[in-house]
Amino acid sequence: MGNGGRGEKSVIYILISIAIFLLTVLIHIALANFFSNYLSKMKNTFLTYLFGFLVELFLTAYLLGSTTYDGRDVWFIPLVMSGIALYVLLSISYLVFFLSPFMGEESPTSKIFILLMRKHRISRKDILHHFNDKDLIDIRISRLEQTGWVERKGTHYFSSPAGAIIATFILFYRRLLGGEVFG
Amino acid sequence: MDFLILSSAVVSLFIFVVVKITVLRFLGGKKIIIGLIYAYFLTSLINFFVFFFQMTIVFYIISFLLYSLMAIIYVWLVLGIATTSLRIQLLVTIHELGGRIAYKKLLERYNKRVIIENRLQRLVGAGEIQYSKGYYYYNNTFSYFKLHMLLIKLMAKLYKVPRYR
Repeated sequence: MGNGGRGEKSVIYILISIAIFLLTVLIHIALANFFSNYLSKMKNTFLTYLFGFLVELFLTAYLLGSTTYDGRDVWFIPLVMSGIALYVLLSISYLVFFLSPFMGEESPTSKIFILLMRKHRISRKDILHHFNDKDLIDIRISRLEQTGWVERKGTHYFSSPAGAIIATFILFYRRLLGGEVFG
Repeated sequence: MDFLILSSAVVSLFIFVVVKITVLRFLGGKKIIIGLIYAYFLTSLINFFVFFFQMTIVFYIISFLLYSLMAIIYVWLVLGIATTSLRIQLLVTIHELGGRIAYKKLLERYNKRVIIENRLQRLVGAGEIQYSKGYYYYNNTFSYFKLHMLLIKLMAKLYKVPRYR
């Protein structure tokens, strides 16, 4: 295919990245099954994928050092940056897409959807019955306090300087999107 | 070639951000999911015409894969946090009310009714669920959110997490 298979055979760096990513996912699942509190600490997940990243770097460097690209051996066209970027992007998207529901608070949208999957028909009143302000608000407010974006003095909450900068940026971004009600 | 693959993916991401902002301005906040799908396909089309003829098909596929992953991460991390995150909405609400608010006042302004109403409107707007005569109905047709939930349920089984099983 194409010009003598130039592109088709030059993907060894890409295949290695995909293989290391899949292996890291398997190790991550195995560790989560073996240690009961493994997923509760974000640090464990971060270290697992960091380990995969170091393996990726090591193999890429080994491949680059042990092969000579003479412009003809198309199998080894060095796609170093693309290979490393692929591992990093696969890991981040996997963690964000799949694991955020398990490591953070339960998403209200997911909860509504699961309720509908089970009951097929439900009124607004019934949906509201499954939620309370304490679960939705209090946990998140204390997380905001932990990150230092919000401070509490008595019964009042204050946005910190860092929190005010983030809120200003978010409001600007929302205005770019048309300024409708979000959240 | 390595640089071309990576830079074409980054350029495509920037195009996606611009297209997405434009599309969402037209469609509005209640149709975020549909807007994102339109923006992704429109950018993919632009990406095809700009980069497909500059590289062989395998390099193009790698570039397209990198762009798609960047777009997913951008949507989840930037757009998701800015538009639907409860935590960020609380921060914005406090900031909008002068940076100082009593807990009771905060609950008056932002509470479970507001949170659930916003989400129900988004789900109905995206065609994920239906609303008729006071009831919300599960839509039996294929949808993005349904696929997402199925994947989450699968992951919950693999990771043995009870919440979504």
